[in-house]
Formats: sequence, structure tokens, C-alpha cells
Amino acid sequence: MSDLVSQEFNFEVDNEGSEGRCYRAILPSEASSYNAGERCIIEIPHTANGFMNCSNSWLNLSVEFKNLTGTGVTAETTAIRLSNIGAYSLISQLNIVSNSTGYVQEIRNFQNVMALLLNSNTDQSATMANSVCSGVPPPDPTGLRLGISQTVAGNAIAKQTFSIPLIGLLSSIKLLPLGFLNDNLSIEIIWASSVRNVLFSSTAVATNAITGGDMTITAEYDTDLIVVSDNTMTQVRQASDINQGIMSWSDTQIHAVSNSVSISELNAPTEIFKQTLVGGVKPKQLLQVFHTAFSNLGRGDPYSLYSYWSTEWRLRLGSQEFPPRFIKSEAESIASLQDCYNAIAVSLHNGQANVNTADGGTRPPSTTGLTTATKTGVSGYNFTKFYDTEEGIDTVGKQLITEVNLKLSPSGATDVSLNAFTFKRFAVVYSISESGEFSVSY
Amino acid sequence: MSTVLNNEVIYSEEPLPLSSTRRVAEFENNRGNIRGGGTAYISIPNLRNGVIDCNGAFVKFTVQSTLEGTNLPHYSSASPPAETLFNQLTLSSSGAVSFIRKIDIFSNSGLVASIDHANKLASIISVSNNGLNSQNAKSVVDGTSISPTGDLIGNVISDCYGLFGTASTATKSITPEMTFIINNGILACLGEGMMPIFAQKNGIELQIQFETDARLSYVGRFGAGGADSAPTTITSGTNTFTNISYVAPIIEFDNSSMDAIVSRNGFGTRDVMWSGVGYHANTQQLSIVNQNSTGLVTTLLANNRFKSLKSLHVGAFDNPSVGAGRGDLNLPRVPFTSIQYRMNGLEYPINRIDTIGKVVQNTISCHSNNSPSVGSTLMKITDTALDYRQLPVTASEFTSMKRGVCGLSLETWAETDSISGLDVSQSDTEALINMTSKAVVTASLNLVFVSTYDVIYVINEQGVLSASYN
Repeated sequence: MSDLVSQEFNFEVDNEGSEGRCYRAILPSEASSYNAGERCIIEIPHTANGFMNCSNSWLNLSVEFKNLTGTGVTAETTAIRLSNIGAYSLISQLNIVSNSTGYVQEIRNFQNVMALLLNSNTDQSATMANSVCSGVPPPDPTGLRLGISQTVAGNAIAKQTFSIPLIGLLSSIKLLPLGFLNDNLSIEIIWASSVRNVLFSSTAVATNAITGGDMTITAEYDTDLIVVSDNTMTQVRQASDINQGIMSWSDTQIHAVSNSVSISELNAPTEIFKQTLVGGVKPKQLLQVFHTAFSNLGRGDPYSLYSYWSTEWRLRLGSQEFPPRFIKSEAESIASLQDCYNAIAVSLHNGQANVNTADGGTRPPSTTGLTTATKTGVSGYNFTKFYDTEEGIDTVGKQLITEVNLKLSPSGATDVSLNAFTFKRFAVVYSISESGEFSVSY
Repeated sequence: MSTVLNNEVIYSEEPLPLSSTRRVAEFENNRGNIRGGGTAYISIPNLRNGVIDCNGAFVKFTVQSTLEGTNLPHYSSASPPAETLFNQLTLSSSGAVSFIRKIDIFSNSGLVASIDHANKLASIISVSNNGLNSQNAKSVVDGTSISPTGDLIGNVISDCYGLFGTASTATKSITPEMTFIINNGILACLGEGMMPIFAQKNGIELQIQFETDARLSYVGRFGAGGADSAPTTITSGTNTFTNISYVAPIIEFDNSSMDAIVSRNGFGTRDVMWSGVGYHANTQQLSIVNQNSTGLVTTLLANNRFKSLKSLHVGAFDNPSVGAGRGDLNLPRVPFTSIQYRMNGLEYPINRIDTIGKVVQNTISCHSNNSPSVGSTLMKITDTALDYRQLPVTASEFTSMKRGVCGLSLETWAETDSISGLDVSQSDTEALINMTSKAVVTASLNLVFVSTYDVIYVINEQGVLSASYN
């Protein structure tokens, strides 16, 4: 007989939580409303003994479209649609600024990052909730995804409200220790520059097309704040990993880098090989790389994901190829993507990609074509060595290059170029110095 | 060089468990067949050296209903008789839990847990926290709508459970016998964790009161011709329940293993306590006047006094007097424009929950974090909105069911297993509901508030189980 009494048979009461209380607070934006392309600031005040529970916080938005211009946009009930990423398409950049030290998070191309995450790292259940809160399309019996129809009357769309959780530092599983900072933080949002980032026509260009319009946006951050006692604050400091007065914790960030793919390259009559240097940060711990492409505005859903390479792609980091041979079929592309989310096991497959929408070598719709579904073609490569650890590959001083082959699509030539996007997810360390200065390193 | 060795490359053997055997036992109702409104009594005796693994336990029952109305499934008078209107009757999308009105658990004649309006409570928790990923298996187990895209149309009786009785007519139809098992979080201490039944002097008695109103569990549809084609209506009905039992895995230890458990926990020598989660449903009428006018409706939540209140949910249920059985009466909706609660003299949340996005996000925060890849609920944009009103059913087929609940998390440290809910043991809870006048209604709605709270279960030296929560 073992002398061990299993934990299941130890009958004991859960401990009481640390002394403190929580409350929800609305943090307003600096201005009452914003137009397309403007900069929105939401101050997160320094709170004595305070923590922000980012995982239960979200951004409340309202948006109203007016003076829409183009073809067939005076009164329309089905053709004009919200992008498949819903209200996330309103945000072009999401940054966090420490008022004492500067940027601690900078996510440019935010819409593209969200298109990646919403298509590759959500399941049908999450889509139900996201449809209400973010305006993404709800589950469809066909398995296809197409943005939610908007009712246009008098060249305007009535005000809509959304409550969207944010990503990066503002979705961290760690509570943000506001009480240890010496100054306020700011959420800096750069709004999308055009209504065409948000709305699109699902019909032929000659029937319905949006060329412009105004949008008025309001925003506030709906946050869960926790305030603890002095004693608990001391306990937190004692229990935390503090080195020479600096409190640090690990997290991840994601950056997106764009490169253009020309019409002639996409329509190459014989197969060509295209190598593209990926700029941006060279992190110490690169965890995953994702690769896809987006269409130029005005041709279908602006955040459809096109796996534009004709048959194969891979990465080159320094002198090494990842993987050594090319990722060829669409099945291999998606399997490699699933590996990035540790979801390669049969029971764990996840994401919105399916056999109808993750087409290899697809191109945006023609001027006479209909947009019948959001494309979900994206692939990825996982550099992490162990499950659930933030241990990737060191890219300091190395060039990251994407390698794809391209040739004319069997369905015909395209007349629009694409923007290829490479996303780098990497480990970061956030630090708060003894004097309360907040910084990030990677 | 790293100073950490990753778990994946550490190879070790799990320690051997205490010597025991595991068997699944079935404790049967001792009152035989039960009609709707009746109560099943299930005695679970003290089991020598036995512990119930309540995580794998469930209530099992078989139900057959006789429904009255019009255009009900029946057989034609032709020879041989043809199945007529067979596809027009579905189960409620909430499934078999709609048949259960109340659960009581007694120890030594003392009440340990009582969950009234269990069907509505379970439906609120389901819409709040369930997702599509579990619907396939659940539809088999407890009759929940299979709903692959979240339409929440109930399972068609004849397709899923067999043919209607041969004595069925267009105005009186007899359903097949259907067997379900439920847990759904409404079995209190008999539905979660380990129950040290060996330490309880007189065992436990589980009482299950079944629902009187058969209309709560069925929905009539339109005929194959679509809109306005031979609509099935349900005006009344009776349910008969048989084979009612509580089925649970029992772990039986040998004497020496039992000694180790008794010694470690102190059974028989001191009070032994452990934590659990309890639910309490509070029902109110949202009157016709309130629904037809604009303004603030304030109402007190009776008996909402808990030492650690984890969350509050609210949903409104349709009135059976409207719709003639063609709506789902056991699905919650959101009937108000905004809501806020007042507890301990403070408003929660400080700013009202006044958009459908906030409703859903606040509801998700009761169960998980609010990440777009994690948050899960049965609410979706095409069927969830504020200001729901129950209107007469029009001559068109339901292609999807309206649903919605509004939750509010009150836990400080929700991510951990610590007890950190709001102490409302010394304060009344007041719901502050804003209503906006909409389409004129002629029936009240049944407003149900569900409180989720921390419970401490205690077995005293004499072997009597009790629960403490305020």
C-alpha cells in the first residue's frame, strides 16, 4: 500500500483570496469622438495598491458611418458588409505607452494581426460570442465565413456598439501591477484611415463599390481593477522574482511586417521563385512565424487571408532553412499552422480554416466576381522547442527571409497586387524598476 | 546555460494510489413511477469505506409525455397507417433538464442543498457558459439541442427518440419513452468533487421534484409546407417518469487505506470541511406594465445573502400562456435596456451594463477570461439582443431561437481556486433594471436571477453533513 493519500481525498477548504476588492471602471478617451485616421488616447491612471485584470477587460466602441460614396451605396441591405474581423478593423495601431519611459507595446497593422488570430486561433464556440461583441460572422451551416450585412439608408449606417477584448499586454494573464508604476500608462489607438478598411462590397464592383465616407468612433476602456491592502502589496513584492530591485515577468508580443507582391509576379507564366527580406525586430526568442497575404482595399473583404504562394513556401533564417524542405500542400500548410498553437493532435485541431476556404494559390475576386466567403489561407512555422515554454530561436543578427514560388493561377490572371504579411510572435520581458519605471525588452 | 530542466524531459513514474476498487452503483427511486409535479426519493446509504466520485455522477430517468393541442404527431386512418406530422415536435433546446423543477439533498433529515427552478437555472448557466464544442455529445446524453451552428432548435422527437404511440391523435399525442442523464451543475455536492459517504451516519437522501407543466419541455413547429402550414400547438400535457436513479462511481478502499484517509482528514474526531459551489435561483414577474413603459424597475433579490457571492446572472423566460407551445419556454432572454445591482450600498458595476456587447463580455468574465479565442457562450449576434419581448407567434417557422443572459462577475481572484467573492451576508441585493417601452405585450415574463456562491460543506464528529454559506 502506498502511504500517499491522493489530493482528491484530502478534504479541505479553499484558501481565502488575498485581501483586496475588485470593481469595474470605465476609463474614458481624451476626446469624445474620433474620425478615421485620428489618434485616440485612453489614460490608465496610476492606482495605489492597484492591479488591472487585463484578461477581464475590454474596449467599448461605437461607430457610425455617414456620407458613404461609391456605387450602389445610397440604400442597400445585403451587399455592404462589415469585414470578417468586425470592429477590430477599426483599429490600425494599438500601442501602450508608459508616460515615464515611452512605448512598451507597439502593434502596427493591428487589423492584419487580428485577421490572423481570429481565423487561426478561434473555434466555432468563440465565434458565437465574438459575433455579438466584435461583429465577426457567426457560425454558418456551410462552414464559410462572410462579414455581417449592413443596412445602408441615405448613404449612412446607424450607430453600432461593440465590446472587444484587446491583445498583447492588455490580454496578459498576469495582472498589470499599476500600483508599482510611478506614472500613468496610456492606450494609444490609431484608427483605420478609411471606411474601406471596415466595409466592403460582396457583389461585383460595377453593382456596389465603396469609394469613401466618414466614420465617427467613440471609445472607452471597460476594465476590472483590483485594489489590495498594503500587507498584500508587500507579499506580492516578496513573492515576485525581483533582481536588484527590478520586478520582471515574461510574456509575448506579435509584430506584422508587410511586403508587396506585384501583379506580374502573381501572373508569372512560368514558375518563379521569390525571396523577400522580412524587416522589423530581431528578437532573442522568436517563437513562431506566420505567413499570408491580404488584398488591396476595394476588392472583397480587406482582411481575407490569401495563401498566395502557388504550391510551396518556407523560411530562411541566416543560412538555415525552416523547414529544410518546402511546405508544399495546403494540408501541410495548415498542419504547420496548427503546430504553432500546439494543436496538432487529432483532438485539438482549431481555427476557422476549412477545405473550402483555405485554398492554396488563391487570388482576390475579379471586378465582376462575387465575394462568397472569407479566405482563410495562412501558414506558420513553430520555433518553440518545448510545449508551453517561451523558448524559441535566437534571431539576433540574422536575416529572416520568406521563400515562395509563384505562377499564374489556373483560374486566370489577377489584376490586383497583394500585400504579403509575415507575423513574428516572440518572447518579451516586462520590467518595473525600483523607482517604478516600466519597460520591455526582447 | 539554462538552469531549468523542462518537464517534457523529466521521466518519472506516478506514485501508486491507495488500494481501492471502483464500481458504478445505481441508487434507485423508492417511489416507483412519478407523474409531473411528483417527487422522487433516492436514498444513498452510508457505504462502508466508500467515497462517491461525484464528478462522474448523474441522475438518470425515462420520461414519456402525453401532449394535448392541435396538429400533433399521429398516425393517419389509411391502411397501413401513415406517420403524420411526425417531425413537428421537438424537445426544448435545453434538453431533459427542462423536466426537473427542484433538487433537494438531505443529510440526517437536515437540508444540505436546495435548488428550486433547477430547469431555468440550468438553462441560464448553459446559455452563459456552454459552447458549440460540447453540443454533439450533450445532445445524446441530456437531450440538449444538437445545434451545430448555434440555432438552438431542439432535437426532433421522432428523429432522435423513436415513434409516437399508436394511440396518438392529432389532438392528443403520446411521445416515445426517452431516457436521459443529467448533471448540469444542479446536483450541488452530489454533482462535483468527492463525497465521503462512509463518514455520514445515515447516508444522504436526494429528492427530485419533476416539472408539472409539460409545455416547458416541448416545442411545436410548422408543417412541411413551411410558413402557416399545419402549425402544431401544445395546450397542455402530462409527463410520466420511470427508472429514476442516481448513478455514481463509488471508490471502495480497503481497511488500511481507509485508515490513512480517516487519519489524514480527522473524520470522527473533528469537523471535516471542504469547498464547493452553490447556486440559488430567485424568480420574479416582469409585469405587463413594466414591459410596456419606460423607466427604472427596482426589485430586491430575496435570500441573496452569501459570504462569498461569485457572480449573478439574470434571464427572462416566456410566459406559457402566449404562443400555444410554439416557442421554447425554457430558454432565457434579456428583456431590459440596462442593468446594475446595488449591494452593500454600492452599485455593481459602477457603470450600467447597457449594450449587448457589454452583456456578453460581462457574462463571459463569470467563467473565463475575455480573450476572443477563449470566451464561450451560446449567445450570438443574430439571436441575442437587449429589450426582448414575447410577442404572439407569427405564421412563420422558427429557424433559430432567441436567447440571452446577463452575468456579472463579483470575484476578486477569479483565476485561482481561492474564496474571493463579494460578501453580501449583511446586505440586501437590489436589481436596478432600465426598461424601454417597445411593442405592447399582453403577458408578463418570468425573470430569474441566479446567484453563484462559495459553499463550505461540513461533516461533524457525529457524521452529519451540513452546508455553510452565509
